Amino acid sequence: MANRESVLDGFRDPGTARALTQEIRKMVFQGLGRPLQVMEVCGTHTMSIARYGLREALRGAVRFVSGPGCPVCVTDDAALGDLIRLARTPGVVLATFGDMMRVPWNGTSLLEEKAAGAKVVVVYSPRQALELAARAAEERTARRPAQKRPGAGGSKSGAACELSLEWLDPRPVVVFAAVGFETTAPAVALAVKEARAKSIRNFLVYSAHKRVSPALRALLEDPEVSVDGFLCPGHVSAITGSKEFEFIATDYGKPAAVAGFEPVDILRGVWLIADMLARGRPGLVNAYERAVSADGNIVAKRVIGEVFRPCDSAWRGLGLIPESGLEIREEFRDLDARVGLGGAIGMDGFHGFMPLGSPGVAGRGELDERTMDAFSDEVSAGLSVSRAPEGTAYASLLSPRQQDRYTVKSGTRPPGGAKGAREGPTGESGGASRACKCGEILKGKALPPDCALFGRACVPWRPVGPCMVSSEGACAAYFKYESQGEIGGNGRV
Amino acid sequence: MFEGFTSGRILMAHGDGGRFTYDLIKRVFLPAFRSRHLKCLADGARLPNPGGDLVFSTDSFVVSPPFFPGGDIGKLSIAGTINDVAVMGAEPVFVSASFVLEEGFEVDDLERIVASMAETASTAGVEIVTGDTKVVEKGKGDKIFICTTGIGFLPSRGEGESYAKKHDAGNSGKVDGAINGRVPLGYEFVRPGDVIMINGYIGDHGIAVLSARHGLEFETSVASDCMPLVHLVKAALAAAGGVFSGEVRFMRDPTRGGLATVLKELTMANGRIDVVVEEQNIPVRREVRAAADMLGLDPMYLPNEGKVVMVVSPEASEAVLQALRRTPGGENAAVIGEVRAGSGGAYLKTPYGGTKILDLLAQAELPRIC
Repeated sequence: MANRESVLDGFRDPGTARALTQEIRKMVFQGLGRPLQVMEVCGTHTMSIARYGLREALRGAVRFVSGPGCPVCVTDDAALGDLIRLARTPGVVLATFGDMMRVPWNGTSLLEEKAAGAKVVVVYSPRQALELAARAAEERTARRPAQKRPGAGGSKSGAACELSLEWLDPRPVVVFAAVGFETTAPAVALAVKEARAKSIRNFLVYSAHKRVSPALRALLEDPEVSVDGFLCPGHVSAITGSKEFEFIATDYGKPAAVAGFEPVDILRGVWLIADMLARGRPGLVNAYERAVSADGNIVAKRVIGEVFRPCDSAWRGLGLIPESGLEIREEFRDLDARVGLGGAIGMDGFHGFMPLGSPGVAGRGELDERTMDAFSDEVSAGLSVSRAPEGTAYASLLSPRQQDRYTVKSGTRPPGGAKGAREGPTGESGGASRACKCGEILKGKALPPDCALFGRACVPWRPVGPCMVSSEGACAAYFKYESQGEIGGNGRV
Repeated sequence: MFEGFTSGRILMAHGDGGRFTYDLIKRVFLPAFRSRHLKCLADGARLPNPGGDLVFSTDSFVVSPPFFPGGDIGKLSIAGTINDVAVMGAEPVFVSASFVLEEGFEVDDLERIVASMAETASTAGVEIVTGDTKVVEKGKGDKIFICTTGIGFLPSRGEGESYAKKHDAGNSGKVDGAINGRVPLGYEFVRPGDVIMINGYIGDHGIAVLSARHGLEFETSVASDCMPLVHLVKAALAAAGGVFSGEVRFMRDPTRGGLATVLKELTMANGRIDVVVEEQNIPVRREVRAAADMLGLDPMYLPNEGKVVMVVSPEASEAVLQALRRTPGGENAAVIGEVRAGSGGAYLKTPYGGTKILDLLAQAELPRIC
């Protein structure tokens, strides 16, 4: 289609990009007088900026800081441990996106487990996983009558081929590892609904889904985060609507722009942020009009609400953030891997928590009104959220005011203060060394070269933290694309 | 259908070395490959040796699926090995072919693959002179794996000629005084000021194979570029004044790892140059770029099976470029960058004012691609 191709070409036009770059530089040097700090939240933005060399093109004028927009990076140790244990469970086939394969956990990874015999398969969509489950169920039914009993007739006949264990396996249960933000959740929800509609009983979903805006809110509460403006995720916004991110301006007074992923999209977003800052008029601008509307994809949001409910969720490097996860609702508990297989693999039964001390029963709480807004009207009425049990410490970066508000039994703070939230539940280190700065990098408080492990103990072919593993990880992008040293001492622009 | 088996499929017995194997060779391999060396079914092929240096190359092919737009594992297995020989400056002459077949593989498919191998060999003027067949149990292989080796001969120039003295332009560190009869082709001959070119679009093969993979199946018109490079290499060398002129410094086919990997390996091996290419000059089809974007892949790292990267002296570069453009497979040849003094870096300049470092891939982006 010639028309569509020429539109994309426009968003990749080097001339337009150059003009925007020059305009941004002018605004920054004449107005701000120091480099503009822009947090780019979304992993795909990280990759695009690196891929097109925009960091260098804007060097001296804009400093990009990477936010928590890489779903693989923010998946915490508890979830990773669950996935590894699921993969090791006989009879389970773990279906996952490719990015998850190499995330390190306790000296292993899904890739290593696969090589050791675990059944792990890379899929490009949850539907593929569902089809796998359906096919496996059909094949087994079709094969059964024809199966000969192995060993019949004695083994002296020299046809000494090995017994294939697959003949003896029970029907495999396909578990889909649902890692992602609001962009991926609708497709997963549809797969769950389809499995229910077609009575596909050997398909389960392990939800590690997260929502972006609560994490941004938690970050903005941290006084050490000194960011001038936010480049908001384009694909998440296509689902949630751009107004999901208005709070950045209305509650925290920072300019924000929802931007697409072509070079001109990104530069335009940065220009708009610089412009709002220069005029002292912070707001939320939708600069990705061709894909994003204010209200977003109503149908997708409804589908999410039919299958998922919000829950408190633990983020690697950031800790427990309220209402930042998505768990599967009771109506679909037969498709929830945490319920169905939790006992089998020693899961704690909570949904997305890192509990401290003795776990109590997860309570139900009132939903924050902003979370209500995020879900469409039909489902948010009567929607409650799963809360952490009594005594669970929330993320240390939450203000005391927020912590008080969100703890089920008020007045209880974990011993040792807010810091307690940073430790893992059972003492498993999850393979993340203490020197790993993924947490700081995700918060935008550090750049990859600030981490002592970067480029030395932690490299793409031998990663320590998830930021180096995922193709969208800040460290991987930095390592792959940036000129080491050209950015100028310690990666600072 | 063959005598003795009714299913039209490969059985374990075909790998036993007995009657079934004999049958398979006589009915499938011999008629297709038609070499007098093969016909005698000896343990090895006895071949004439014109003297001089040999180039000897081997490769295994495990591409999945075995049939893809623009080619198949057979065509790939011949072209791939031939090309490795050709880019060394040698004329490929003889090839061997070993097959590992999975029990249950359709004989019809095998015949198609074998016919494809014969045709590719014939296009390139190469003879398949020896081979082997094994069969593994169902589930222990994946339809068909092929291993080919290729032999080519380097022309010899005679004794006592000093190429270093004649062609040295300050990069003499690795070159001995007199190279007796040796072809001056290799990373050590690349020097600052040299021109880097490629014969056409990159990434076609990678995308074509991916589009045929189960579970992906996106619609595309992209076909693999798989082809023997013999004629392209010949044309380029002729335009440069022959392989001994030294005007063509280096050639490599960017298969696994793609163009970026070849460039990086070149600078790493040489150690005293940098390579800088301009993104705008690198030919990439729209469809390939769109598919790569969709899958999160980089065309610079996608495998190609009908491309050759050449580093040519500035004096001969125009003539070589024109010769490539006049040869089938080289119509879209382009100059993509240049060599500078340096220390083993490879760089890509984007049209947006940025420069990217090209490095070796940390992990296989695409398994079973060739």
